[in-house]
Amino acid sequence: MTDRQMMTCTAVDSELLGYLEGTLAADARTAVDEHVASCLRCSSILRDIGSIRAQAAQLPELAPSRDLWAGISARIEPAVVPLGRARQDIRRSWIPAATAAAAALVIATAGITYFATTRSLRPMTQKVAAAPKGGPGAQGIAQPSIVPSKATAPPDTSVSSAVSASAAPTSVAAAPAGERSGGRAPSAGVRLASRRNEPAAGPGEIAYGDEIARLQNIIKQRRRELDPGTVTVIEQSLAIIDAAVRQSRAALARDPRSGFLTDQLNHALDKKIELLRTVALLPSRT
Amino acid sequence: MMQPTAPAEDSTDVALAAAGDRRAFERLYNGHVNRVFTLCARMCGSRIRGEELTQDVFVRAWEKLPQFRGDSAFSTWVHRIAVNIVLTDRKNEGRARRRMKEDEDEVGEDIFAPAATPPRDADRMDLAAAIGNLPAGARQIFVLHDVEGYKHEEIAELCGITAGGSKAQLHRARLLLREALTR
Repeated sequence: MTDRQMMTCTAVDSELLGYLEGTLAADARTAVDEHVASCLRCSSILRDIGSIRAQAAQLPELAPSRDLWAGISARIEPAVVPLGRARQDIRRSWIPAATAAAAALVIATAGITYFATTRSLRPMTQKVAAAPKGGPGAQGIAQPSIVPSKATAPPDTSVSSAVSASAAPTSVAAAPAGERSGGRAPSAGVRLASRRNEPAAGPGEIAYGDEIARLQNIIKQRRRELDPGTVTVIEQSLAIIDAAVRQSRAALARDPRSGFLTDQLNHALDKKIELLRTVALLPSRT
Repeated sequence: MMQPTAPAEDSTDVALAAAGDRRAFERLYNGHVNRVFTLCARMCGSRIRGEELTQDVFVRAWEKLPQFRGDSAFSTWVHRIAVNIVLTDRKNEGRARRRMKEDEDEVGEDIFAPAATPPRDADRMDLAAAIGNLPAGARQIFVLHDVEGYKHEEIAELCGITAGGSKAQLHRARLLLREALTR
């Protein structure tokens, strides 16, 4: 009797996995084959497993007992209208632009805030009188709280006067009458968001434009009074915001119904006005 | 795995559905729902749960369709989603229930012939019912390998186990099935 003939059922059991997977070495496989040929138990196991495998591969396809589509349909964007490929491409194309615009706004806002705070906070504290909370001074540039101290005020206060005299009424004027008592004019008074189906340059944006033009005029007058470094940073920030506005407008022109793009454009214009106001209120260089 | 034959019209409907056309997606659903349901029901051991998972599969497919590159047939792609959904469902369910029993004791709930399902100690049961009575881990690997034709390496990747583990589970499943079918 050879070693192969000595193979037991237990030994076959331990080799069965490899045998069925075809991973056994040739010698071991031959030993299993020889054992199985003379063993009713082991040959039965192999035959049954072979049968199970064959049956499993032939199992019939099942069908659900109910209609599943209704549940699926309710879950997949109920309001979706079939879109053509071209429209999908448009939708995809504005996503990077809108993302870039949003990122640019964040950078610009953070930069100018940091710069204005670090460079101008000290002089401001000397010149700015605390406005009553919730009072007229809280309404943005419309009621600037700059009160140049007599000791430090520059001899020519025309810029301050311009801020007080021209900006205050104009920003309020830009807002609809019903919203004049609200907060900051561009945020509350000239929102474009409610006009989602309008082209980018609708009346709301024209109101923004008026406000921006007025603020830019103020800043133009004040330009010589501001620190050159501050002016450089302001111009860089404005360029970034303007780029964001342009991108938002371009995307909105392609997809005028997009609420997201409308919000992006509003946000960019808000940021621009916020920045211009901050600049208009910056103290003169000392 | 076995490569299901892809209907020729799939590619058109896939493109339309990826662009948001729900009717095209419904046609895809009609063409593939039985295969997906079969996989889900067999893997989870329950027709009822299988139907719920089938819905999850098609919802997921709808969400991911814009990312479908067409590198494989739609049927292969949706099949893969189905496997992942079932496996994830099992994991989530396990976490939620904290498993009163070990996996070895977990069997399908309503099997495949609920009214006619004999008890485990019955003299004989058919293969479909016996598969439903397998422990979850062994059942899923048996279905993937012996029914669906996945290779051990593919199963290992899908299930997060080794190919050796997949082979061992498969062998165990086969022996349990033999035992159930020959009693």
